[in-house]
Amino acid sequence: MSTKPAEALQGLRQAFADSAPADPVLRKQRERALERFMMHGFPGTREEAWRYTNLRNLTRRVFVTAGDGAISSDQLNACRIPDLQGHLLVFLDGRLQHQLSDQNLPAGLRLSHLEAQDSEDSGQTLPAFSNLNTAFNQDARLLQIDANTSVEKPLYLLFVSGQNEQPTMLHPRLEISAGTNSRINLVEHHVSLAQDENLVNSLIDINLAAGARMNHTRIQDASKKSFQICRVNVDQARDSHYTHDHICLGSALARMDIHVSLSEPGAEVELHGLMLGQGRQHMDTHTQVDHIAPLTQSRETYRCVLDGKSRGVFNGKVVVHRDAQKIEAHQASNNLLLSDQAEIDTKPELEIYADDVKCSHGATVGQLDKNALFYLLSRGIERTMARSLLVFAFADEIVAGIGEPSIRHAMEKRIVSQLPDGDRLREFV
Amino acid sequence: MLKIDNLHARVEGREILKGLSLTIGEGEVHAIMGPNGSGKSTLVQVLAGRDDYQVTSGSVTFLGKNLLDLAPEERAHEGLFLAFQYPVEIPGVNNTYLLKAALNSMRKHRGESDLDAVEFLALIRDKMKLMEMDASFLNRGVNEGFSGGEKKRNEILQMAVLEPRLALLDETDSGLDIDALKVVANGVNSLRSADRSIVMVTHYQRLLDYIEPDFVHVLSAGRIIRSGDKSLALELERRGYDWVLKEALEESQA
Repeated sequence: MSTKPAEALQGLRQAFADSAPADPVLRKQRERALERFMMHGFPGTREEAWRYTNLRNLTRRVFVTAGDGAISSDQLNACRIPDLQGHLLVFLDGRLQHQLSDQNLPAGLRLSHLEAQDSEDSGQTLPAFSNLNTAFNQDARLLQIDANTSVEKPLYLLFVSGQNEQPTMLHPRLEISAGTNSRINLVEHHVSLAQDENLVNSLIDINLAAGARMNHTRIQDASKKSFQICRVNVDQARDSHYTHDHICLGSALARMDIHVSLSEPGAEVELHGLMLGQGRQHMDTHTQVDHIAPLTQSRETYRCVLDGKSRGVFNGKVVVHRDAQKIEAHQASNNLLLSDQAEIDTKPELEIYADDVKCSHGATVGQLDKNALFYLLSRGIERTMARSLLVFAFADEIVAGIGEPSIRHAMEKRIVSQLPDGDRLREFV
Repeated sequence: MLKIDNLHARVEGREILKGLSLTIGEGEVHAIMGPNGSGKSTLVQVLAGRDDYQVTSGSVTFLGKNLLDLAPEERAHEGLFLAFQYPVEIPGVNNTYLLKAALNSMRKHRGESDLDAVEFLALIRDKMKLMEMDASFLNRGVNEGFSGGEKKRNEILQMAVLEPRLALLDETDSGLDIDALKVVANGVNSLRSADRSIVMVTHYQRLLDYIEPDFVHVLSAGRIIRSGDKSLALELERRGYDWVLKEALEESQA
């Protein structure tokens, strides 16, 4: 059963009527997507994939579509990662801001409008939020990396939620097509200008051609009252390599679905994630890796640190298809609970239909290591600082894996800043 | 410096220390020996303030303060240092961080300002030379992937940096080959001074060949049953513990 709070759904219809495009083909497509969404409404906790994530607070709100916001260059500078030297594309309330973005992308990297987006036409059943994205996305973009192109500097996609008076919904949509043997580092950074209660519902489709390599770093540091729903679908061809590092800090409710299809031999994926929850934050990561072809590899490392009354969910599904022999799939979910009222639900799910495979998974849930804490105390380090040092060390196992030094450094500082006594830890990062 | 009077302590409901008394004067080096399970490690853990251990009666006075009232970090601030038998590996916490945080915490307690990066590095380099440690060690996680010998050296390095008034060395010799033992002993000896006391807990006489104690005590079943000078350790090495235990039993029955 799904939840259908009538007011929220009525609000969506109204928002649709206010914002639907004039182009009849596009409008028709969006109407179909909206109707598909309306049939079931928002997913409810009786659906297995949403069992631990209740959308009640989200469905109580009526979101409007975004107007034309504005952002000053000072505001922009305050949002961006300070030392990240990359090709910057700024999206404000879902729309690309040309005047704030790098005008010239390097050769072999092309950004265009995305047309014909409704993949349900191909007979696939789409998740509710994907339908919602199709019905509402404003400035869908296609990013193409030409074959044999190595983009040297990172492509920095900065998604800014503006200062909206009402809860606003944003539906960023991006399709990324990486050509044969291309290389790119992609940084996706979500921030808010104010303490907004927006819904950001992102949908990103990534296709990696043979031998393509992509590092995708996602930093979600949006308003702690906002709702962040994100789905990343990745399809990988022969010998391609995709690395995903996700640092989840912001929002009241964050849900990440990442679905990787290893479609041809030699494809490899690495998924790493850190969720840092405080207060009443709710953070949920669902991963699914489909080993469709033989000789494919996946490695997943997820860590979650929960304080206060925050709640975390990790669900890691691995499907090894028939004939996908000689694959390797490894998964680790390590979780640290800093308060009695924090809660984590972590679950590996393995479906294996081949017989010559190497699969492992492990999950731990614990508190700070007493022995390590005593060791630090015995050296005269105050308790608050000793605890923060250990929490930082636990979280940094994920952050330290980020390839781009400026991001690593910014994230270490950011994490330290929200730890008790963090200002005294700052000199160490 | 330290006065332990009739100390009783238990862990997991089992009484381990059963009326232990011991007085350590300034600048003295004491060795505490005894068979396995006699309570040696419990004693140093209780003194360092580990909360798994429950003190049921008795008192401990350290530099005029009631030690048992202090949290572990406060004991360290007052000048107590424990070199662990099994130093903990803390991945992700860099050795330099630990040394710097610990030293600055001590300095703060003494009302001194933080050392700046240059002063700190100069100090560390100096002490690392003493312990014959390679500079690469500074960038590694605390004890992470260290050999047994490296861990013990690291403990004494920390002691050298923190300059405690009272150092408790818990089986610092265990797991060391003879070369590493010499380095560790050399480090400890260089830290001997008139205002610094040292308590070594050990199974073996071997360590005492390199760090000569002023006093040797035998701990058995949670109490000190015999005290003497360094010749007691040599006698234990030659004759084992049985005769001391037997004599102590006879004395208690007499």
